[in-house]
Amino acid sequence: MEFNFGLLGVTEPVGSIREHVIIEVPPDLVWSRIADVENNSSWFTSLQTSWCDLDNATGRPVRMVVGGTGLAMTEDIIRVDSVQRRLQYRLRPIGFITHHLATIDVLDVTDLTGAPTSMVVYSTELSPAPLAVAFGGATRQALDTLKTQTEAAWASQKVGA
Amino acid sequence: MGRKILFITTDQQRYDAYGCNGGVVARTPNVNALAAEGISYRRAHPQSVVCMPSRATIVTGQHVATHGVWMNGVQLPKDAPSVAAVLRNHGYKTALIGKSHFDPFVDPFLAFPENKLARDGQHDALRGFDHLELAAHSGTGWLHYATWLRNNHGDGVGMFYPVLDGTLNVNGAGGGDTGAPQVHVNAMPREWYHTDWIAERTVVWLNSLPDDEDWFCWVSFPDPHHPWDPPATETHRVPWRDLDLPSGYIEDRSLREHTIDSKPSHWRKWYDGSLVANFEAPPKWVPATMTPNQVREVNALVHVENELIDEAIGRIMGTVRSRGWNADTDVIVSTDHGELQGDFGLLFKGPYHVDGLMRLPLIWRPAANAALQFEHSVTDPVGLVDLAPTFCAIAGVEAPTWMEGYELPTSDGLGEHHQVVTEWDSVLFGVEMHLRTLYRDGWQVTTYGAGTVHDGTEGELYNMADDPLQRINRWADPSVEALRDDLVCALREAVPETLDTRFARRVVALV
Repeated sequence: MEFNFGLLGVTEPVGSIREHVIIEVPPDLVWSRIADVENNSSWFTSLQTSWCDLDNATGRPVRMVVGGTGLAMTEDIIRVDSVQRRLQYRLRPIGFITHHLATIDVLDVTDLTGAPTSMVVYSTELSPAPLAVAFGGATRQALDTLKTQTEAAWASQKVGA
Repeated sequence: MGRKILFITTDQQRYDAYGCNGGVVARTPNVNALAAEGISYRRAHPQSVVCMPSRATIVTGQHVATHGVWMNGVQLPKDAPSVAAVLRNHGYKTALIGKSHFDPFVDPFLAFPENKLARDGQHDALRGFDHLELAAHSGTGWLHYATWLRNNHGDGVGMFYPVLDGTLNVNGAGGGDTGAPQVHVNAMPREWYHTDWIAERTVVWLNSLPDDEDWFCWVSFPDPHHPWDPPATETHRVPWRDLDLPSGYIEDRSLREHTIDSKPSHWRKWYDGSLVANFEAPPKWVPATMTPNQVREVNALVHVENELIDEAIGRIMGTVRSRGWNADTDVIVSTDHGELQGDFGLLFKGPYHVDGLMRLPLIWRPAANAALQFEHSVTDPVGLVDLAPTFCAIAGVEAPTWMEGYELPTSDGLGEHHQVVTEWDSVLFGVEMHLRTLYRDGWQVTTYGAGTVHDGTEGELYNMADDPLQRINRWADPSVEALRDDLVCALREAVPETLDTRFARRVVALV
C-alpha cells in the first residue's frame, strides 16, 4: 500500500508551528527571560498582560494571560527545565481551542559563531489546525521582540562591564 | 471643484452577473444604466483570484509581486502605498464602506488595525481613507456591521450561515433545498442584511459632505461571495428549479472528468477530494459529489444577491443625483475576483485560472461634465491594477511612479493595454502551488512552478475566441508550440516565475 504523506492538506486535526530565532546573546541571559514565566507578556506582545497564580483545584502554578481581545486564558506550566533550558506550557481549552502544547528551547550555538549566541526554537501544536497560522504570526512577532530586547540588554551589560 | 469618484465593488462576482454583460437571470437595471452611459470592459482580469491580494492590488495599483500580499492571510502593511492617500493629499474626502479585507479577519490576538479600529467603534483614517465603516459576510467578528447587528438586532447574528465550522475550516455543511455547501435559508429581514446596511451607511456618509466637496467613496459589497444566504424573503425572485444550468457546467460526468483531466493534475485531485490546495473552499466538501440541482440552487442565490446589490447601487445613485452630483461623478463598478459557480463541476475559487475566476465585470461611467470621448465597449485586456491610475487621472493627479498599471483606455488601441497577468502562490499546511497567467491576443497561457503536485513543466493554453469555456487545453499541442513559447516568454518578462516564499511576507492568518 502506498501512503502519500505529502497531501494531507488542511483537514489535519492538529496544527503544528515551529519558529526559531538566532540571538547574539549568551543562552543563560535569553533563558532568564523565558524562565521568568510570569512576565511573558513583556516579550510576547500579542498579550496584554500575564501573571502567575496557584490553581485552587490542583495546587499547581498556572499562568494567566490576557490576549489582545481582552480574553483571559489559563496556561498550565508543564516544565521549567533550567538544565535543558526548556519551557513547556499548555493553554487550557477555551473557545475554539481544544488542544495546545507549546515548547520553547534555548540552544547554545556559540560554537557556530565564535561569539555568545543562542538559538530559540518555539514549537506549538494546537487544534483546530487553522489557528496555527495566527499563532505562528504571534510567535514570530514574540521571537523578534525577544531578540531585540535581549540583544539591547546584552549590549548594555557589555558597555557597563 | 473636481470630479467625484464612486467606486463600487462586489466580492467574487462573475463577468456575466449583470445584464449588460450578457447575464439573463438577475435583473440589474441600475448597473445596466451605468454601462449604457459608459464603458464596459470585455476582458478585465484580477491580478490574483482571491480577496486579499486582489484588494491590495486595487488600493496600491501594484502587481502582487510588488505589494507582497501573495495569498490570503498576508496583511497589507499599514503604510503600504494607497491611492486613497494620494487622493486625500489632493483634497479629496475618502471613505471605504463595506468589505476592505486588507487585514485578515481571523484575528485571535486582535493584532490587525482594521479589526482594532472597528472593535473600538472608530472610523478614523487608515490606509488613506478618512472614514471607514467595515463589513464582512457575517454578523460575527469585530467589524462595524457585526457590531451594529449585535447591538441592534442581536437575533440576526445567528441567522447567517457560519462561514467557518467548529474546526475553523471553511464550512462544507449543506443547506437549502438541495444540500449544496454554504447554502442556507436566512430568516433575516432584508433591512438587516449587509448589502442594505452598506447602502445605508454610504448614503449617510455622502449626505454628511458639503455640496462642493471632492470625494472618493469605495463602496464594497461582500456579496455574492459565499455563503449563499440572502434574506429568505428575497429568494422567490429566482426559483432555482426554473434555472438552466450554466454553460460552464458540463452535465455529462465522463465528459466533465475528461475535460478536467486535460488540465494539470491538481484540478482532478481537488474534484475527487484527494487534495485541498487552498483555504478558500471547504476541505471536507468533494466537488465530484455536486449535483446539477445544487449548481442550480447556488446560481439562483447568487442571482438574488446580485439583484440586491443592483438595488443598493440604485439607492446610492439616487443620493448622488439628489445631491446634484451626477454629472460630476465618475462611477466605476467591478469586483475583486470571480467564482467558479459550477464551471467544470466546481464551486468557490482556488488555483484555477479560468474565466469563472478571471473574467470580471468592469464598467466605467465617466462624469458627463468631463466630456470624455469613449467607446461603449473596450475589448483590450485590462486589470484591476489599472484602477488606481485611473482614479488619479479622474482626479487630475499624476499617477505616482509606484503604481504599475495604466489608466483604463476609453477605446481599443489606446495606451499599454496589450496583455494582463495574474499570479497565484500559496503554501498552506504543506501544499504548495505557483501559477502565472497571461492573456494576450485572444489567448491565455498559465504556467506552473514546481510545487506539491507540479514539477514545473505543466501548463494550460486556451484559444479564448474558439474555446470560450476553456475546455481544450492546448499546452501540449505541437501546432501552437511557437505561440505558446512566445506567450510564456512574455509572461516571464512580466512577472517573476515563482515567488520564493521563504523570503515573502508572512502569512499571519488564514483569511
